[in-house]
Amino acid sequence: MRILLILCTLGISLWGYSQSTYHTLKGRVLDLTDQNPMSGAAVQLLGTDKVATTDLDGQFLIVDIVPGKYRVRIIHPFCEPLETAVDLTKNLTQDFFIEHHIHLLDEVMVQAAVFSDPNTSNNASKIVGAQIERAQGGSLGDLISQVSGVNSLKTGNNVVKPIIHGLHSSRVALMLNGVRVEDQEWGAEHAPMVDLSTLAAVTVVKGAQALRYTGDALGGVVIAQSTRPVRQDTLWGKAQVSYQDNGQGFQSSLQLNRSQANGWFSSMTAGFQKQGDLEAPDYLLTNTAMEQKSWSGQWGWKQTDFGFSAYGSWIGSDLGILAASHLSGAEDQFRALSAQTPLIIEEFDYVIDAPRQSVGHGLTRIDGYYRHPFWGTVSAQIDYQFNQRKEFDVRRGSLKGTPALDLTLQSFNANLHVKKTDPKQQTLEYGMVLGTQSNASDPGTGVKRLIPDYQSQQYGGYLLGTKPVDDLWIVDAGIRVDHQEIQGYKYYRTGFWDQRQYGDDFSDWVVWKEEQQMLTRPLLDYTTWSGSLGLHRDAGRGWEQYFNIARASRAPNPAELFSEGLHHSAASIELGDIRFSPEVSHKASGTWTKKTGRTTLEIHPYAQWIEGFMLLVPTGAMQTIRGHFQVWEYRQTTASIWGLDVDAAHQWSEHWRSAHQASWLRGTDTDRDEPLMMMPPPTINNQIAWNKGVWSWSLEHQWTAEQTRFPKYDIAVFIPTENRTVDLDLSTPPSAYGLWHTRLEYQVKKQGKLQPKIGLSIRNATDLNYRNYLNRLRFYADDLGRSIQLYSILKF
Amino acid sequence: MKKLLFIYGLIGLTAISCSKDEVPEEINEEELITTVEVALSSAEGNVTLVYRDLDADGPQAPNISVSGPLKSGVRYVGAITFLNESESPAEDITEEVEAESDEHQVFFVANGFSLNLEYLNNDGNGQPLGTAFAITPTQGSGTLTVMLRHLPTKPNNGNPDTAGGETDVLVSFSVNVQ
Repeated sequence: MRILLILCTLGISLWGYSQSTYHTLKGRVLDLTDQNPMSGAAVQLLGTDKVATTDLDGQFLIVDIVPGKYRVRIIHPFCEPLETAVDLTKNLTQDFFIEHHIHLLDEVMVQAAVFSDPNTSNNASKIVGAQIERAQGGSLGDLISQVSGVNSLKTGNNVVKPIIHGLHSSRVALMLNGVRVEDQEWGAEHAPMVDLSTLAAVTVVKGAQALRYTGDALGGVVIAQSTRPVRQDTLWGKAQVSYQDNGQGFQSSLQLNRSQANGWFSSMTAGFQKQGDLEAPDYLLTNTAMEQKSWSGQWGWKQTDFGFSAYGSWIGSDLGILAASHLSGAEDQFRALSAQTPLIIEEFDYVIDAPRQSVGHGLTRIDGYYRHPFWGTVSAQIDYQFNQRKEFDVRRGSLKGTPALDLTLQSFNANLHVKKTDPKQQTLEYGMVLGTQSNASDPGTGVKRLIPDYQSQQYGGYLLGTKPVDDLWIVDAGIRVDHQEIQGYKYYRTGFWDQRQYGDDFSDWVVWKEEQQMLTRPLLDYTTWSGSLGLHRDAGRGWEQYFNIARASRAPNPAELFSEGLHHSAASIELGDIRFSPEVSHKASGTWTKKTGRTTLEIHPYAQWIEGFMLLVPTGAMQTIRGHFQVWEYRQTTASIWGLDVDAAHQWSEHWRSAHQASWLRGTDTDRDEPLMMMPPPTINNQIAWNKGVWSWSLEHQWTAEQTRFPKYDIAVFIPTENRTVDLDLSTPPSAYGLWHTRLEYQVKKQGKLQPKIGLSIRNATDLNYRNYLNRLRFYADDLGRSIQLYSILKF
Repeated sequence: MKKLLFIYGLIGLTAISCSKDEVPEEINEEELITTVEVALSSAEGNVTLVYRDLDADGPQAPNISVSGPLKSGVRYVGAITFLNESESPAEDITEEVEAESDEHQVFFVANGFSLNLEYLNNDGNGQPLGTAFAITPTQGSGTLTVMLRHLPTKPNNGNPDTAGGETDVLVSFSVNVQ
């Protein structure tokens, strides 16, 4: 038999020689459990002398293969060798999944995926395993900002939101274990709450192509995924502890996964984190303490053709906001801006005083799937989310412990998804979504609602397909339609209603109207559609090309529609407009990637045009009894954003590797021919890493340019103590800066089942004073000084 | 399984629809100060300065009135009243300020004339509060600015630029001292 096979192979080989063409085999070696890349795995093409070793991303490439059918053997130090057949009568791209957990080695499962992902032309970047572990104690926003083209919008250092290609908040969707997180994401100071210790992989899709999840994420989608269950009799998990000197913070988490060969599985996680006042190089950042508790649990049954699971999680945070940033009007802001150091600096403590945010988010989900021989995989899911946000301000008298904002947002969503893949690797996916949402604010705050109480219903449907045209080309296309209805009750100041002449168009909304105050019943509905067309081409010699054109459309959010009054935590008056129409974006992007054994290169240019772009900009100052307040108004305009992300990495030798990243973008309000506000400045990151046996070390330099393109929105304020009118400069971005970070890790020798790792990380190693344009509190204090973190991870 | 899904769905929908379609309660701003009244009295006559802005952060302009000129070199004994007139009856916020006297201070700044200021009431620690005060202006015309600061540094030198805290009231009156 074996002789026959050899003869066959020889025959095919000879035939191959006569064709005088050679093929390549490339792909990745991944951990079956959590899809983390497996570096240092040897990929052997049996019967030849060809061997490749996977790089840090788990990638390998074998070139100049004589056409034929071969067997591939994959060897990794922590795994049982894996052997499988491959057909190399043409170029092949294939991922190999190996079971990493040493005690699971009774049976090795193999899965192959020849680009079966429906969104092949997505510009998706995946962050996995060790990178997530190293970010423990930080935020999701900080974690994904290591992807080129992704930045963080910060309010201090505890509130961090992702910015993708210059866009954030409602324009970036977060999917957590298949559920779109509904957490009042419209506010710049409302950060997504995710416990990083529960996550196994985070994928960032730059652009609106992920139509299965949403059609309104003009910026992109962040897909966060917990550990996936396996069908083995096993118990495994992970415990982490870390301490950080800056803020004297500590963090701990525990994860346990239990699964059985009969398909039952369960898992639980718990995390706790506490931190005191953080420190800038020269002073304490008073009231920047925080505390976070989280847990999650999952239980289910998984078979090849059928499965279901139930999932629940809760995360509660108390976040202190820099005391010196809590200001009243523009006169206070002038004082704060004139001061060299923050106006309030106190002794270090763990106390979280007002101003602070107390936010809780609960998520529950039930889902199931069934593989039907004709229809394909049918999956259904329902989820219910509860989000409570309380913001406490510095207040007087009996209101001291009463929040100034107390919102409860509840969301319920159901969706049905069908995916069919035929033997030619063509895929067809379609589905529908239904959702309802209610927002209620507690009137006990004694502060007028910035966001009114409302109910909304949404439903939508989508159709997506992928088709390999030939060996080299794959086309994907998708379309999605969404409909949304909003009903609410909104109290308006009569003066504002009349000033905007809302009576001309919305007089039927009025319930009653008095001299100062009136009640209205807004009823709004929006229909939006989005679409995506992508091409993927294997250009040979390690080059791949992706092109994508996507249309996305987003209905105005409640803040953009209804804001009217003082936004306490922003110390500004914010005014929305109920006349807004949905914004529509068209984005074209391309990606060129080259991946060989040693080098990877990715070049990603993009251009986006947005009609009806809703932006919030200062328009002047309003006199109030507390002095002058900046007035920020939402308006719609036409905007363009174009830019370039470049990623490169090279394995210089067995032990040395370097990685490089650069991002640049340009955002313009084309109606007014002026730059868009708060656009990320250019950044360049360079990293060198050394790895030998159990030791690894890295040094990173992060350079951020000064943003030279910004609109001038200063306001003139009379300062009585100085008897003069001053320009309040809230526009000029801070200077460029370069930060050094370093990290040392030691992988302790495996003790039976136990696999411990300890690490030391130093951020801002030179203790540089700097201010970050994308930090909304940059006016009041320097950013973080040196932070030394010691961490340990125990896998078992 | 189906039953489980159904029950779960029902719970979720019930939770959401509980609050459905009720008119939310009207909120009256509780900390709001709509009105500042400065009553200055002397043997040579009384002057009242009033700043009133009933729609607060709304678009309507405030109503500012000064009953007449001040006399140079005359000592006026002053009393400040902070009111929330958006409620009926009007709430006297001065009482709250005086109850938390150690967390508050009233500051006075004159431009265009000079002002000899005496604080006539103190907080529990003997530091000035300033809801009762006396001023002796000298000739000139310009603005008198009255500020109420919450949580200023105490003690301070009476200069609001360095005293810190958060501004609760900042109103300016055009004043003529003859």
